[in-house]
Amino acid sequence: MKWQLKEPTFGDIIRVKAGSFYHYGIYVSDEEIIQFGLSPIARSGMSDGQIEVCTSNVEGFLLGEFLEVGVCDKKDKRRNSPKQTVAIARSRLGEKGYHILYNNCEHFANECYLGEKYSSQTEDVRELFRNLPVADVYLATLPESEKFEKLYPKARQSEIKAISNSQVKKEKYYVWKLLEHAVKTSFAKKITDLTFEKSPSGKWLCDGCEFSLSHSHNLLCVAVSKAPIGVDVEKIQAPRIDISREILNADELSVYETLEEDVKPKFLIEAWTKKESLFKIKNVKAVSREEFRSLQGNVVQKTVCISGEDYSLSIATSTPDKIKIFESVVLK
Amino acid sequence: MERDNIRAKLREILELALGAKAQEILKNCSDSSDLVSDLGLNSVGILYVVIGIEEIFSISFENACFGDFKTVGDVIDYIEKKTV
Repeated sequence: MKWQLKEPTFGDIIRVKAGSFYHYGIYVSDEEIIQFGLSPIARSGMSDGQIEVCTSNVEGFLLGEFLEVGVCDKKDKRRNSPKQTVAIARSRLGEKGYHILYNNCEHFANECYLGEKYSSQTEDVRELFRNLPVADVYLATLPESEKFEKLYPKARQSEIKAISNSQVKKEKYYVWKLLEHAVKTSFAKKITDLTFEKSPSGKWLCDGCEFSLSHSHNLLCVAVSKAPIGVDVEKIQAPRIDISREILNADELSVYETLEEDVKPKFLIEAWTKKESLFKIKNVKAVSREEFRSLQGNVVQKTVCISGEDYSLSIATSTPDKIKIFESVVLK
Repeated sequence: MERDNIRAKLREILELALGAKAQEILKNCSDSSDLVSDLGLNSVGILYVVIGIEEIFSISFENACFGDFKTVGDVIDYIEKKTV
């Protein structure tokens, strides 16, 4: 609907700015505007139960602001004539049941005018929240128990069942259980509400959210988002063999070589998790060693201490300011 | 859902509802903070919070009244019960 500053006529839908939102009504005459409650400014302090469909004159509706008249555009279909609009509005005088989300002044006016109960204002706010970026990271320690229950989807369960290494099997099982927790907490969804499939690169994908999994020793990590996200954790310890030239690019290597021996493992592991998180966000099967060393992008890094041991955590995301880390999730 | 997780997500909703001064207002926010007198939520702010809770936690307020909640803790209690 388009809104114009013009003289209203009998049966028009009208609105007026009331703070950040608009107050809506049906125009009958300058002495009779039918509306669901007076303007929020005029009814301050009233409970929802006290609000009812009422009339005011045009001054009482506008409270000094400008009047706008609704004009249907191609999207809107007006089902009610001006006469029907006014008749419906009048028939509802005294009606209660105001609800800020489901039965407000805009719902009322649209129902009388368009024949459709609808509030564009509440839909706009909903859209704002639906588009809110999410970059939630969940950390949990591997439980001592080994209680392998059924997993969803079946293909993931079969994949885990086929793993012969008991430690890897346990980590993969529980990181998926952590994903179940993450999906429920971040998106209020059950994992069974989502559809999973494996991409050609071998990465698990789902239709309801983006996610990334990582596990190292006893630490499990899951990141979930609405946009691609990559996460990697690794225990900070000296590698058994020198892998610096496999991980570091020339600039990083020149810094690495100037470091004291005791800080080298941390530098190396941080570089490794950073590049692993960037690799995961790319969703490709493999990159060349040179490409891996050169990976660059938005990565947030953190050192987390679990049971007295330090881990490097790297999160690659386009919304680093939205990262929320939920530590110490307890898995059953 | 765990209370700490609910609290973190509710804070995000409150940040959007309170606008520019959110960080300053929420600095001293606790479960006992009054939604109106401490946080200064007006009717528009409440609309944002209610819609935010519906969207983020998949809870319907159709049969509930936000006016029943006085403090941040009351809202967390409600979400906790609804997300068991």
